[in-house]
Amino acid sequence: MKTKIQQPLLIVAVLGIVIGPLLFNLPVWVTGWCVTFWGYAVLAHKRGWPWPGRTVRLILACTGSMVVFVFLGDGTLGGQMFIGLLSVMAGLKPLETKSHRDSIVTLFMAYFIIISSLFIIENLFITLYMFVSVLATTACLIHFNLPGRQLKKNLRLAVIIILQAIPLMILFFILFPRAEGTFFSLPGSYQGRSGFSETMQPGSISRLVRQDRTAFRVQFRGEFPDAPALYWRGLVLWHFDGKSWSRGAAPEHYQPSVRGQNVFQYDVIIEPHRKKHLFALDLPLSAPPLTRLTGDFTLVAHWPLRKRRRYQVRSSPDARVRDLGHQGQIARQLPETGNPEAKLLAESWMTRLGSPKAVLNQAIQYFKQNQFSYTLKPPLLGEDPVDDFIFGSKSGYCEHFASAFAYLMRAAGIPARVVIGYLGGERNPYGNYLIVKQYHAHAWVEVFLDNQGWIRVDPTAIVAPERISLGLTDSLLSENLPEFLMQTGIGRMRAYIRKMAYMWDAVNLRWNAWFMEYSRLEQVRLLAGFISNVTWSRVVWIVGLCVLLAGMAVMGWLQFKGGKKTGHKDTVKEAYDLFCEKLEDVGIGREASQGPVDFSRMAGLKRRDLREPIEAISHQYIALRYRGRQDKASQQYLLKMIKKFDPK
Amino acid sequence: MFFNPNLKSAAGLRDPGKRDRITCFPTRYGWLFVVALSGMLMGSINYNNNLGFLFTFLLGSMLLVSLVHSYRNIRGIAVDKVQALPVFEAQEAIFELKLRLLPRQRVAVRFRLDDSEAVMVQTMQGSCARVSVVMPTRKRGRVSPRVLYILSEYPFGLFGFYTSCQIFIDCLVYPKPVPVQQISMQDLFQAHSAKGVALDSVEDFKGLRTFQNGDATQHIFWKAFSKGQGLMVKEFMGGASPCLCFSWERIKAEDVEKKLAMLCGMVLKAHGMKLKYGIHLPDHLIAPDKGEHHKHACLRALALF
Repeated sequence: MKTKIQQPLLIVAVLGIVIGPLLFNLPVWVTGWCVTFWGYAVLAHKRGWPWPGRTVRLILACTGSMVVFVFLGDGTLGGQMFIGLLSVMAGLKPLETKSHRDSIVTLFMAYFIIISSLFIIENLFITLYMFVSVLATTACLIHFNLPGRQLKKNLRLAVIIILQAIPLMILFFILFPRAEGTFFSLPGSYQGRSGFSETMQPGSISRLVRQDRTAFRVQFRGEFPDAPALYWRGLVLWHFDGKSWSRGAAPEHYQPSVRGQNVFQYDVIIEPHRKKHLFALDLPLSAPPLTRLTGDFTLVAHWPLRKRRRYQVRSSPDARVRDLGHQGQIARQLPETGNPEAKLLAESWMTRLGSPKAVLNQAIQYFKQNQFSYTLKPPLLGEDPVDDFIFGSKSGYCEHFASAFAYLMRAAGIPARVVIGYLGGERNPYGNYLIVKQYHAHAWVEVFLDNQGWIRVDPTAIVAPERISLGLTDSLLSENLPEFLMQTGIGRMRAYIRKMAYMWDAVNLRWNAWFMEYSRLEQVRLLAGFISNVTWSRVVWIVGLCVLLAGMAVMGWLQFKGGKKTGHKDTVKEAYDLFCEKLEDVGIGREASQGPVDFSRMAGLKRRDLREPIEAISHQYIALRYRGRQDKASQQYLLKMIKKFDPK
Repeated sequence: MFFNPNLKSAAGLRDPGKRDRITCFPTRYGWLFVVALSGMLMGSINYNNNLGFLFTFLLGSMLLVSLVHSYRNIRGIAVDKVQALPVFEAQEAIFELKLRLLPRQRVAVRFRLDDSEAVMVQTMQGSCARVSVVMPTRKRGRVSPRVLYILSEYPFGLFGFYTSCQIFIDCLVYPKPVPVQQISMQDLFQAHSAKGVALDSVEDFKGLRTFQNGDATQHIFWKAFSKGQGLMVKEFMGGASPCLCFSWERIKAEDVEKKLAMLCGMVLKAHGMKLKYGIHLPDHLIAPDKGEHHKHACLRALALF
């Protein structure tokens, strides 16, 4: 016989299962905190150690919350802090589950932890894991309600209920009306971690190289563009304050028309980054729904991105904006003071060469010939960063080059702007799509020439052309790259893991496409489609789906009934029970140890007047039950006799 | 009228196959769960999060499915018979229910009479079952529950179903007996001379004979022994026991309840000694007799006085 598992152990087990996936998103001390107190609860239960009193628990709860506020709080009630608080409380919970009420409240908390983990980690794994968590929590809920039963039985019941609930859940999921957009939001709540900020200063992009997170994925309809064309336009920065570039007074209500020869159509599935800007291949031609195309050809969503989103764009790499409009003024803006040497240099070029085109070429030549180097770890720059970079360190990452180049252009009186976004992407061989990661972040410059319009100039490509042709890793070979970018190491193993990661990513994208992106639009399309155009294949589909759901329901039902024999009614046994009951009513009770033969003999002795029917009934019952007689007629006969039998 | 407390019964008899009136009720955890679920739904709607929806609908569907399980757990229970054996004051009244069931496994079904504490039956299987439900007694007389509730919060303890039936049976509560050490000879003979009380036992008295080993001590004629006439034993007709009558008026106690309690004790003592006895209450006379039925008749008279 197995020993009964006690409540505190069950609570610890459930909380462990439920909180497990969240611990990867939280600092290590939270894990330590939980393990410590759970361990103590288990030991206190097993060894009879003292349970902490109310005051101790209160102090611990306050301490834990304070620590969460200090380490995870960013002044807002953010998602990190929320799950931090939940975890800290979950760590303490097993210490205070003494009463039934505490236990139930803890399980409710477990359900909340599950939904929080779903909001924070959105992938296929957590979806499947949810069923495990729900099963554990529900089995525990049943067990606390029916503590007398075996845990195994209660677990089985939980499985049955979940299986039976799944068809209903699917129905609710498909039919529940969806809305578009967000009604209210907590500041910085739940999802999303920011990619790059909306300004650019030295270090703001090289910082992202340390991040292996995916920024977005792109599925092309038709062919892929060539690698050098993969400039993902994010934000255009117009204002320079001497150190950093920002949007400033970007021209908003100006929409020049563009045309391109080579048009690519593609879907972008972007990870939430809590900001409004979206990314598109240089140059986007139109805006997807709930988004607008700004005058400088960037996409801006109507709401900050709090969840993964898919949008469809058309872009043309060879499209050109030929019209400067009234942007000339702000595209030449420079701070009054600072960086005087670079300004002098650019002005001297202009006076010497006379035409913007020549100055542009001169600048490109300057970067080529002066031993600039491309590095992730540039030295710190002083008060005049552009001067320091051009005439001092001469080494930097793309933001240094872009900033310096744009500054030189503006100083020479040529309209210029900085564009930040991503460059390149990894092609997933299993899903035929591009994965753009944070470390693909990039910055480049656009310069306006009168007869050519806005043209892209990438100073990084001038200094380190392999950045564009070979990708990030090869262009920075000598650098101390983050672990995940290193291609050395145990080569074969690494390649294998990489392959697996690609496969998993592809599966997740599929799942995301048909599950996570189910929205009002799909709902309306699905339902309208089913109602309006009835086709043969569609009918087959519906019938198939109904059969499947019904099958699942029936299976669940049989499972539920399956506990007892074959499931059909045992009429013989029931009839005999009735017979025993009738005798019991006149004071002749059947002992548990008495078989039908003994019982018949005893009853016959006690009621000599009824001896005949008693013996006949018993005989018939024995024949049906133990001698293998099965025919309906015998059963009917037994039933009739028992019905007629009246000892009163 | 003849009264047999062992067999008298009456109850709402129903066919177990017929649909009963079954009502759903939430427990306080049920309310809490619904509030939590609405919160989750609001969050999912607000953030338009499909995973949130999926989870909320899974929990909601599980709750709905659990209601079906809960309903089936209660459905098809019929009360065939209710029996209640008389008890003494301060004991618990026990109502024995005989149930007819649609055969199916049933878990954690509780039975409750009026507002008393419920009795939980862990598992029931088969087509009939017996359940004893208790009610506390505070006063002699009758305990008459009106409604029997059958309820279960299986499986989650969040929502439950209950069904109820009217029952029409009382449980007699006898007064709490005051233990009586000995019924003295004095009582016996005073009983003989009690004015106006007919005593059958006079005729039964046959005579005296000398004591033999094995004679009951209570039959020894002590008066003769004290006069030095040796041990004599009273003999009765047909081997009958001596008989006596307990009279209300002769009991010396301050209030009615005390008197009843003492009478009760005497009846029990006399019954234990296998004597013939009767009781004489102000409005009621029970002629001396003996046996189980007689004892209960006397106790009943005391209970309902």
